[in-house]
Amino acid sequence: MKARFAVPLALVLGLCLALYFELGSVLPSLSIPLETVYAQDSTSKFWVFDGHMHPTSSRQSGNMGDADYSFQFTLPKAIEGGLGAGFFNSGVDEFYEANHLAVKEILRGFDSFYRQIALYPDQVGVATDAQQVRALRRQGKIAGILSIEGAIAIESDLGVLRMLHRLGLREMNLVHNLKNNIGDVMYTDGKGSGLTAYGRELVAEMNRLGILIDLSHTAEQTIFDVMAASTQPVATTHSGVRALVDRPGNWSDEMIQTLARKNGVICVAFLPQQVSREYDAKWHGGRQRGSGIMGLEPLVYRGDPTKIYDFIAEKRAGGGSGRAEMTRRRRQDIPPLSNLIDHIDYIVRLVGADHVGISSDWGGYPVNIQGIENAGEYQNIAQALLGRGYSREDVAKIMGENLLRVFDEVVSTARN
Amino acid sequence: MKRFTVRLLILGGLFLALSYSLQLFSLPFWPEFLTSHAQGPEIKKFFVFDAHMHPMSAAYRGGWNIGDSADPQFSLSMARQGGLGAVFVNTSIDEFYAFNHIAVKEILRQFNHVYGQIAMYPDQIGMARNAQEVRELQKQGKLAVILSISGGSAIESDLTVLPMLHRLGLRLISPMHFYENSIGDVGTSTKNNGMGSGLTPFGRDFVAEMNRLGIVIDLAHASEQTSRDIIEASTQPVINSHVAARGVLDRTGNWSDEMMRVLARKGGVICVPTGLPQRVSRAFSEKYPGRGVPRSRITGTGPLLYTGDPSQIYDFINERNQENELRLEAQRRERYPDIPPLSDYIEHVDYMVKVMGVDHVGISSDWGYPKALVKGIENAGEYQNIAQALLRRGYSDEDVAKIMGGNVLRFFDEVVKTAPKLTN
Repeated sequence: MKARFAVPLALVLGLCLALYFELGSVLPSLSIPLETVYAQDSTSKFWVFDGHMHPTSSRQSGNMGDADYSFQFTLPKAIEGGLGAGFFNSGVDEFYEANHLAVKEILRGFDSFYRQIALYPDQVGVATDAQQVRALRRQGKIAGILSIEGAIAIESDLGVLRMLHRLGLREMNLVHNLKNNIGDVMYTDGKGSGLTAYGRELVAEMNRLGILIDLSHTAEQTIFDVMAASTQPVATTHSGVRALVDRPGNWSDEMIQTLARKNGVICVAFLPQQVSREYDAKWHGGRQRGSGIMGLEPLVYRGDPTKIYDFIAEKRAGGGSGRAEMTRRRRQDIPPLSNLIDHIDYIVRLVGADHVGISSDWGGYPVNIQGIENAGEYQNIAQALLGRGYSREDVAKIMGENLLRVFDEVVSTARN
Repeated sequence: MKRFTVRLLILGGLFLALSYSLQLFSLPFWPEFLTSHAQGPEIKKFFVFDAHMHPMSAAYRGGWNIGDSADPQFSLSMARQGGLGAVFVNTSIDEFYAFNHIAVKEILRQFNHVYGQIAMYPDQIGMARNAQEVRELQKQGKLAVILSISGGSAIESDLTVLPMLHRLGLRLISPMHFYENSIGDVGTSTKNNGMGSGLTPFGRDFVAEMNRLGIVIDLAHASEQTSRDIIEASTQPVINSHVAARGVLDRTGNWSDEMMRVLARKGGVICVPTGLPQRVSRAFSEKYPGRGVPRSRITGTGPLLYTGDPSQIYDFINERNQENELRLEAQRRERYPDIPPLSDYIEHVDYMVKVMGVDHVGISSDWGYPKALVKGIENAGEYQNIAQALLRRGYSDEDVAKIMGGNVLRFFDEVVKTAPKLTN
């Protein structure tokens, strides 16, 4: 009696399994990606992959779900804005590296990333590859991808990099505020110097591990060298177009074309100095920033070693009220959204819609652009692009699909 | 037909039981030469869980691989021969690193080295993060490596570093190493009539975080007061991975009966090291009493703060390490003729079993630095000599299995399992 049932049952089960696996292997090869189907539904928000943000900074107090967490980013705002994935950055200033504090500082940043995300299991998850990003997307959750702003974080040790990769690191830029032993910074004369011998080793190791190389902040010569050396696509997560605003960090046509040939992506950031000539001229003028802690003063600390963190806190607090006033005044010159759209549009006309993305730098710079001043307003960019006649498919690419494609390629072609 | 099958089964079962028991009980009577050589029929080996060693540190400093035969105390083939199944593989942080803010980086460098070594021998070693993984590796005939740190200074007094190291596989820290630090005091401390100072307020937070994450706290090198405070503060059992009994040899650092009982009551384990003859042998200890003062591996008794060119700090460390290696090797040669017999070692194991019961005693080696050892257990191929010596003293198979590794595995399982569910 039992055996009679068992045979058809096994057959049915087997069939189900076979179908499941068969479908699984057929679906990805269909020409219309699932994402695009989503995007074509005119009522839904576009899925956003933010190329550069600091939502879980260890220096930020409070939790990201709090309404007063930050005027630029809170979790409820991000959900409202349709944020789907982001490179969650931990930044390291040159001062830390010069005084052997960088590795510890980055672990603090990573701990904060994991703690913040663990607080909101129903809204955010950690992703280390595109498949996990897509899984979180299906569950309606934001994918946080662990990233570093400033490869000085590894203190010139590739073994440290491997451990950080094991902790989930998947995106890193090579220089931060100052020229370093990897390459040159955007605040340099002309094209600056190129990728160093150690820089080449680092690029090779990042390729091997599958960590997306971010060329933001980097000098032109170093950028060209990295693009030639990298076996994987690269990105610049916060750069504008030099033809529109000629300033350090903005990319020339030739750079963008080379990046596109490598199948990379350039994310235009909601940074007024990068997209508006007037704002840049008034408030930045291409000046070298120097270390966030020491400016252009010497970096090596000579004081009491047990007081070094007090020293950092003091330096950071310095000019606190002045800084708030400066931000208030800068905000009065906030440029219109059309400035940002112009940059995106320029890149699309130059290399097509497959190589451009967006980024916020929330937590990195206090002034943004009209219409996109906090994480609740991402969709205004989509609307503006649609208003300029962009197809929904192209808008979807720009809002996030391009960056996901590049991230997927880098991680899935790792050889670790 | 049916009857024939039943008979066949019974006969087969008897045959299996007989051959198994022969192997088992003949073990102590096997001639010495058969056990110390790999040839001949495979004899039963007890599963060994060595609670403290640094073979990777030796390879890290020496620039060789653990599969090479560069280290006379430890190689993978020796470990296989000796029946080694699991180890707390220690990375090592001297207080010098923390003092100069390079400890966190150094620990990641050493972790990377351990991962690299494991990746070189995928058929022979694997990393284990809990007892189940140890057992799985054991079934596959592989050595289970459990990532450990000697020296709580590795986190540079920052508890946010700890969850990240745990995420990388860290499962044991001995908070103390050579010097008093932000957590507590060392066994060589002269403070408080030799009891040393106790657990600091930061140390208490550290213990709580270790408990939360399920990282084993190892009291090796800790002062008596710090040890007592930790045993009391910890919600989980703790271990002392290398210490001997004061009741057998009254010497700085060895533990009193009372300390042992306090630890055992919490479900902890104490492991007697084969690599520290001065801890176990009276004659050896009297001839080589040691300095008995806190001493950094890098700067000796000199100041820990490095004031030279910051870019030269690793050269400075490498030079000191090389000097150290030479000094230790010279010391080993000098002391070698005086190394104590195995019976001196067994004496401590036996004593501890009498004080705490057989469930709280384990073994360890401290391989990884050139040093004088105990006769008969001079490399990782010779662990089973301890088992034989215990069997000869009349220990049951079951008890020997506990001492050789079962206790430490049970203890490790409990610490990892009882950790509260992680929030990150």
